Amino acid sequence: MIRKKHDVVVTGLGVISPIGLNVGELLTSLRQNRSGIRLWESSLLDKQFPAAVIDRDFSAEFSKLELPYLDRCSQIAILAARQAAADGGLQQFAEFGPRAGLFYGSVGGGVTTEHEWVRQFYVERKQQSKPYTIMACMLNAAPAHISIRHQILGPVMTHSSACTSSGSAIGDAGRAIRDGYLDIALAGGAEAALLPTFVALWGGLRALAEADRDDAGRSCRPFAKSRSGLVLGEGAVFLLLESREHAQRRGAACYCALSGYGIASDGYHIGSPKADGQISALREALRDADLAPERIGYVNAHATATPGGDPIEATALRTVFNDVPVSSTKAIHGHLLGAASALELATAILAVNQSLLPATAHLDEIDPACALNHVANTPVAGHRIEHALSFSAGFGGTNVALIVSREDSAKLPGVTCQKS
Amino acid sequence: MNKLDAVHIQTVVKDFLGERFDISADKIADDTSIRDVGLDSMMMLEVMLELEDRLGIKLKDLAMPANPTLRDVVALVERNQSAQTQ
Repeated sequence: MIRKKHDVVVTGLGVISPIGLNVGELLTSLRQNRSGIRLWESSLLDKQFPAAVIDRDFSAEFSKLELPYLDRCSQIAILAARQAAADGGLQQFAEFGPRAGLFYGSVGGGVTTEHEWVRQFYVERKQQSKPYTIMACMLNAAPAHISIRHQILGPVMTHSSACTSSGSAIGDAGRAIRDGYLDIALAGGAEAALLPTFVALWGGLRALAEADRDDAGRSCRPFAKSRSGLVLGEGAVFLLLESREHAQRRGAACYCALSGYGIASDGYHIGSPKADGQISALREALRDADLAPERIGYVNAHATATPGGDPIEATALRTVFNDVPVSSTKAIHGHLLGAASALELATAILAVNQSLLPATAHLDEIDPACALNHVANTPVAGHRIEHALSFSAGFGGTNVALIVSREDSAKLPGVTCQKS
Repeated sequence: MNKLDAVHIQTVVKDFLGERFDISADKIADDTSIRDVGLDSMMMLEVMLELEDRLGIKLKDLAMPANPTLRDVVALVERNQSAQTQ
């Protein structure tokens, strides 16, 4: 067992996702298994793609003096971080000085801004960008803006490990609090890269799902025999994490505890996962939480619905766990890349907080190679879960597992903490 | 090239500040500093680049006080004009 100085609790959640623009809407979508995936098209691409799009322009939330610096990725990150802080009863962190941190994950950062500049360079032959362009597209733009707005004056860190980016950000934030380096942190991730150049990159990999002929919302089918690939999505999700003592001092209730974090790498291949590294991350998280595998009541799997990835993850889960209920909610919210781990951990948090087993939608015929105790098609309400695990695996071979644990007298979604 | 008059330069600056940053013209007096209307140094740089395009000029001398006013911007354009016509 790893000796812990402090318990880490989750006192706020902020969600901007294809299945909900706040934590309450996310919960409703999970209960109803409502898909946020639809057909997406670009005049520059020959065919339509299923995508988990947030059908809203968030630029109206910002002034024209702010917008030059704010790519869509930064916009949604700022809004989700603001939600998480407000949910925990906070607006400003200055009083915590360097004891407050921000840990963020993203794959692309300000992709829209960057690709637009590349277009101007090659097509319009512009020799210089606008003065702000470099700052709008850099990977750490979003956390920088959040730290400035909320006066988060300790470490402001950006993680980029593909699909585990926000998972390792949350894990490292939790460790910094657990080990006494910080009292409080915002942690999460954002991705907003649904533009033709980026979608075509994934098309080049032959990893994207074909659109379902009858219902585009059913295009992402993790673990199913008929799965055809992943569905890209966009969104931003943040957690407010703090030590239990800190939360109690300011009278903030929590959704649950963040009780375990495991991170391990495959050391194998840039784009192909390996069960061994996944197993290591899962076991490290269990060791960190001091829990036997049978104590885990729900696993939110990474399962992106690619033909090659899902069976390897199923092998890893079967190796570590006996019969734990498993689902991949990517079937309804798609793959948020840098925000994927954060959204799926938020789902695991709601699972323990609400005694809800989220389901894998569109799982009519399970691939025998993905045999697990699947929560297929229908979420199970009223199912008490003491500990839930969210697992993510990224290109490059980084694997992250995070465990959350039920708390008595936990706060309910939509009930904001009193301001300290 | 005809020399640009101060009123025309002011109008171009105010028009751009309104279009780009939603700053209304009635908030900008001769002695209003750019910081007072919410602009930072990079935004000011964009203003200068835009002035070059809209006025059809090239600003070689970009020296201005740390927190310039509208009057300083006009003076800068006029100074560059004078240098070019000498």
